[in-house]
Amino acid sequence: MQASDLNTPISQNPAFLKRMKQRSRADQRFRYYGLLAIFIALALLVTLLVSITFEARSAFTRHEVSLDLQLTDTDSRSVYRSIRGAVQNMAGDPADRDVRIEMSQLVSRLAAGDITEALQTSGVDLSAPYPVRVPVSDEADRYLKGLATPVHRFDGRGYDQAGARIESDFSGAMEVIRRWHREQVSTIRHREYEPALRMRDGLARQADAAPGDRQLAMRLAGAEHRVELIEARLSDFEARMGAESIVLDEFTPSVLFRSGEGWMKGVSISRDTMEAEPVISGLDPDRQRGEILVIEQPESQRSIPDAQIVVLERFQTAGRISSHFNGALFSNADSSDAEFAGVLSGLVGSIMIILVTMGLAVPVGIAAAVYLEEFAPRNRWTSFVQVNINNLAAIPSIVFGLLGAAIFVNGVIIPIPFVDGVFRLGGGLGRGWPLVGGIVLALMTLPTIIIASRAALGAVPGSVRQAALAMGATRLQTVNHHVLPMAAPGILTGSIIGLAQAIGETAPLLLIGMVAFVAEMPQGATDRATALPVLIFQWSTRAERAWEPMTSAAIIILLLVMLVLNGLAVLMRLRYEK
Amino acid sequence: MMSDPILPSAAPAHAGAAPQEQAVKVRVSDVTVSYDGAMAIDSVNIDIPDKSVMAIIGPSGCGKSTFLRCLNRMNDTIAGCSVTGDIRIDEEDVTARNVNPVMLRARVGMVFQEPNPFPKTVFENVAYGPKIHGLAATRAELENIVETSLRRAGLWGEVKDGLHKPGTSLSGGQQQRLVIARAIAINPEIILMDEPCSALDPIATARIEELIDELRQNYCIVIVTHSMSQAARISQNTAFFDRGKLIETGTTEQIFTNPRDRRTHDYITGRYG
Repeated sequence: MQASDLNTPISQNPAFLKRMKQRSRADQRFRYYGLLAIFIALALLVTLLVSITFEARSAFTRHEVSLDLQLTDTDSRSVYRSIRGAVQNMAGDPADRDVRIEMSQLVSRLAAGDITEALQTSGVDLSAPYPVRVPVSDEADRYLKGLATPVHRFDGRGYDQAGARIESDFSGAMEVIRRWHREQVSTIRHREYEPALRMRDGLARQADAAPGDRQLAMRLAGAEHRVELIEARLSDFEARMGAESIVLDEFTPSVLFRSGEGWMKGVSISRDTMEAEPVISGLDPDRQRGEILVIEQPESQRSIPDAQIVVLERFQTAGRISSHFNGALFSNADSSDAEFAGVLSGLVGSIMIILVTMGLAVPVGIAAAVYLEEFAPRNRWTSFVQVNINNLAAIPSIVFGLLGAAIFVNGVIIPIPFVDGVFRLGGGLGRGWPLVGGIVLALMTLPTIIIASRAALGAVPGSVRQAALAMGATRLQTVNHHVLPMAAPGILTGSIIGLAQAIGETAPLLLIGMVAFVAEMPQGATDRATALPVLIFQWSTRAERAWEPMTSAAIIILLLVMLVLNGLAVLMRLRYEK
Repeated sequence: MMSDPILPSAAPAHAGAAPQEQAVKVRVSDVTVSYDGAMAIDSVNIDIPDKSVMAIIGPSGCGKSTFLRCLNRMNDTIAGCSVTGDIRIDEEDVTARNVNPVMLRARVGMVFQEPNPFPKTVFENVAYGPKIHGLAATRAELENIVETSLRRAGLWGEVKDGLHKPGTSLSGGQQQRLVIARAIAINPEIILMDEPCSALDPIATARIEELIDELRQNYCIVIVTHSMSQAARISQNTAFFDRGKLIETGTTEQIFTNPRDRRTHDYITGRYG
């Protein structure tokens, strides 16, 4: 039977049947591709949200220490002195000045500020101890959350002490320290030794091929030297690892021994003995209690020194450390200390910026769209305008930032010919003002709003316009009574998308001067301010590890702001569509 | 249907009655319309009498709707459309530049092919015209106008309990009557209808035709239709358009029984083309 046989009914035509099968399969395939695409998109989104939330979770709590301050005065300096005194008191008033300073850094100087404020409003009896709760430093907080270093604890009861020598069961500690050494050895082998070997062998082969090349010979000698150095380090590590007794210093894990009120720090350790130096005197005389702490991360590789760990542990034993919801994250402005930093100044700045943007971009954008769509004649001039609006939407936001900085902040300087003078066009607005940020973002958002609004207006059926015009409505009445209300949901969606984009914008704000560190809450639209995305950018570049979860937390807050905004848009849309 | 010419004897008795001589309401002289230079209608001259129905018939694309839109200057809203010639309503030139089309459209109502109520309530649909033209000073007056218009459009009984339901929720035939009620709520002088029944079923069509026949008492009605039987049933005068030209105009009886032009004869007997 031929496929082209016109006498065969189509339902029996083999070519048709074959093609039918292919078409159904193509249909199926397309559906699976669509499902797969949605699944991938969802999976990526969930991964992003989960990882950010996981990263941020530690920023939502902070540890605080309860202190009883012996106040001498109510000014900030005296209060800080009292805080330091209380911390050092808990640390057993060490004689070594460096250790004292290290220990007192457990609480930031900024803590005094809040207490001073409270004191000045309430007034207090200076003779009685004044109980306060202050946040511990970000590094101490990380230690308490278990993020700074792994800590291994072993029972040290029934120990013997003779001067600097402690006899106890240190086998657990030794195991940890040996394992740490082994890991170091394997890391060095992988990351340093093997690449160095490959480098040397490669150079050696080249040198064999070109015996006269002096430069190559020198490089080979250097590579050989490097291999020898690493080998020396490796054998040093292996020797220490295998030895009966291991020397402890700032490049190895620390071993701390506590008993009662007293603390000792290990200098060298073996299975049953540790040579130690006292940190805080007062080991338990009846030797009933004893604990061995192995701080795995070497002291040189972490920001919290052993002395601070000792003080923290003492506060913890005394029940003076507690974990609380980190309200400062929401109620404070930016700060140089992570434990005091909050997003409120950024949030306020962002709200001011978005209000300015909304006030400018939405009415102007809708008016422009209505004019272009409903009133403007279709000619070369209007199509030129339209093409350029579409082009504007594609301009990178950083360019708008440059434009804003040039026009609103610096002004364009034009030299006046023949006269010794210049004319400044624009400028005069301050760097980092929310007003300027709002204007710049409004310029950036305008094309988005115009394009979305035009599309929404264009989607209103012509029959509605005709009906209104035929009733004798003017064009303005036609637009206001019928076209705009019908286009409102689309216009609203477009505007919200534009504004949401503007809220998340960072680059243009940086360029108009929102780069500086602003620790005060902005008082108005003409005050130096920062914005949420700028804050995120700044926090992500700060060196201390504590800023990592803070950055993620700020991202979550920004996402929540967006979510609220989009939720509002959906609500308004639903109300308009009724 | 097309092969069977509709003779006046087949038409309802009221339409067949000889039309009384009516004063001329609209006088169209030498009207030419072109879209971007392409001629749509060419030098049309026609007089439309008051208080009667004038049917415009002709094949698709012959310029019937374009002609209708000249009468309320809806062509002005179409980019690239140019109208020349002279249209007088009650001897007043309405094509002149100084005539406000908004004013003209208040006097000349229009009903479109597809029912196009506003996406608002039934009440608001009818009240819209009186509101924008300021015809009702109080809410009671407005309600009165709405009720009267809906009664005249024969829709009151069906919607009086659902005045605040959306106009778009009515059936097609009801929507078209709602649109007519909306048009007559501002008491225009002329009503233009552009194939008002082409989207409706026969029952709804009959209802509209009845309505048109009632409205004839008060208004000058111009209706474009593709249905020869409809033209015969409801109109007193008929104009036949072909390829942008007015071929023939006269009383409906004369056009359908004794057309002067060969083309008219061919069209009404279905031999056209």
